[in-house]
Amino acid sequence: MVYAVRGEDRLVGIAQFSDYPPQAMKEKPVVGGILNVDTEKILALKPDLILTPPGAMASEKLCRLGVRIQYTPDKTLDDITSSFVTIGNVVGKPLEGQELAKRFKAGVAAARERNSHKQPVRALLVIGYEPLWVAGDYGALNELLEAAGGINAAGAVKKDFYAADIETVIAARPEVIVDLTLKATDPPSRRDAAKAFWSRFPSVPAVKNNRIEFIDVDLLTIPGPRLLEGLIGLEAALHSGAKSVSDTNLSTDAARR
Amino acid sequence: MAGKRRRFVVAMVLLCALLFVAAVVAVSIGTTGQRLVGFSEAAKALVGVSVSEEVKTIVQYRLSRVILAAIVGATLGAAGTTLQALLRNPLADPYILGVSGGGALGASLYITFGAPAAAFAGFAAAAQWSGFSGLAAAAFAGSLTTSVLVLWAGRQRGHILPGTLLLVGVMINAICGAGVLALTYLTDVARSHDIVVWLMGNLGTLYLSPAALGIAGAAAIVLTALLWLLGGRLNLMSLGDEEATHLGVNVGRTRLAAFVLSALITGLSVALAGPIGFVGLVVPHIARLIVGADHRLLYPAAAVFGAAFLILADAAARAAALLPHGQGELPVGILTAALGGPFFIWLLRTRRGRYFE
Repeated sequence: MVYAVRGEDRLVGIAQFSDYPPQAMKEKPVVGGILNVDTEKILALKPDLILTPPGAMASEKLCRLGVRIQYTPDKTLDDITSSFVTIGNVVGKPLEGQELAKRFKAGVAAARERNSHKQPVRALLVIGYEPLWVAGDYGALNELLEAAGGINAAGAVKKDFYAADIETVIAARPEVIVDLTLKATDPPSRRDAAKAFWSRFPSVPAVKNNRIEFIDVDLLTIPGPRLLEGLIGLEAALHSGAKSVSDTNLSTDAARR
Repeated sequence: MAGKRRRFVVAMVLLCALLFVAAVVAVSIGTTGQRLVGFSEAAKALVGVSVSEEVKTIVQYRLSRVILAAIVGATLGAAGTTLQALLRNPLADPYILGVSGGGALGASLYITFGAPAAAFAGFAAAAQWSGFSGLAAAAFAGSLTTSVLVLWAGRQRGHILPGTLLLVGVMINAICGAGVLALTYLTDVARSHDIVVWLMGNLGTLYLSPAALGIAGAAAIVLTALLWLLGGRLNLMSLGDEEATHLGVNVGRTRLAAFVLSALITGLSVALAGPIGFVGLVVPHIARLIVGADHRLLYPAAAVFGAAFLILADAAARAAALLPHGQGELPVGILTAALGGPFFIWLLRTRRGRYFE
């Protein structure tokens, strides 16, 4: 998000696994992740401010560092939108932050408007296999699904992600299965493995009609402006080919300018 | 003598009846409760009366789950019996000689690094055909490796001594445990959660094809039968090494055979369902309370009771999804501990400690 508001020159360190935009990993030092935050490294970089989502195990450790902490909630779409503004403010790019938030909100609203007259498509959002992890009825991903005109087949459980059992999935009769276990860089043979998995449950409508769609996991699970790309992808997946033209490619625009 | 045999036959008949009832109950219970598939629909589907495709899919899934639970439960029961005899220790469980550590390390390595590697075309194709997953293969490979290590390190001057074996096994489990913890700590949150979930022991992680189940079942039956054949020798060995040797038992070779067979069978179980605790520890004791300490009788009793026990535990784990505020099924390892411990204490009290005489 910091890159999206063009605040990257003020960025002195990034967390592990922050691989977008790609130049971030090359340019900025890595200070560890949620479980293994490297407090010494952080102190050595002498930041004025630490940005982190609230509630992480590392928060306690970070609190004790004596550096000011700015929490950036990222669970729901509202959280993410307000985080754009917050981040914009703290890195000295308030206008960019607000602009980003405005366009993000507009993008989601436009999608919701586009799909409001359509019959909601029952979809299952799969985050992992062994065990079967799915998105539940809470959080940004679920909201994006609804904006794209879908209804969550695994929505009985009000958690953002949980392990579903196959029986409940079969009973929920999803019309589309959106596989979010792969990144864009993964080889296509892994899609075959996923399809083979689902082929064992032929009573599921999505399996019968061969509606197993694959979307880059990063586009829909990492809080940030790229969620809009993911939203377009979701729409396409749900309504098979109803790709709409929209000028919501925020992140690339911002990076180019 | 005749009385003892008759008691054994009665006990086995009752145990098999229990197994059957457990299977029936388990196929009628599921996470979707009675909504789609209750007892009557399950019965119809099994008998071949035409039912909706959905009911058929669900019943097939539940049945494969029951079979898997039977395989894992029976093998853990047999392995537990073997380890308790091998180590002459009533607290021994099948995992104690490094199997759980190796399996856990293998699985953790796979979860952390291996999934991308599974993209190699041949591997994926083999996995697709058999229904086995890379995860199961990695866990099995891990447990085999540590078992070999324990066997190698536990030999002293060519002899396998129970005491040494136990120490080496515990150490190797600890080392592997450290590896697992390190991987859990260093990898990203999603993967570390997957590792933790796997460690709880879960019959629902793998979705095996009928072919894969058949292979696993056949392997389990063959290995358990071979263990059963060792029963007489294990009886004699409980008198002590010297006495057993005088009575004609090749103690060294029997120990080796028992170790290898139980390592294979436990490795298989860990690969299929992760390290489900308590079954291997409690089932042999309960079987002993039912049929006595003669290993020739103990093996079939432990296998059948183990299967029934795990089938019921897994059914309860799936039924947990039906509770209000249910969050889906529970890992079965939680339930085996909850069911097994108190049941054993109750059984012990009703026999008034006769077991320890």
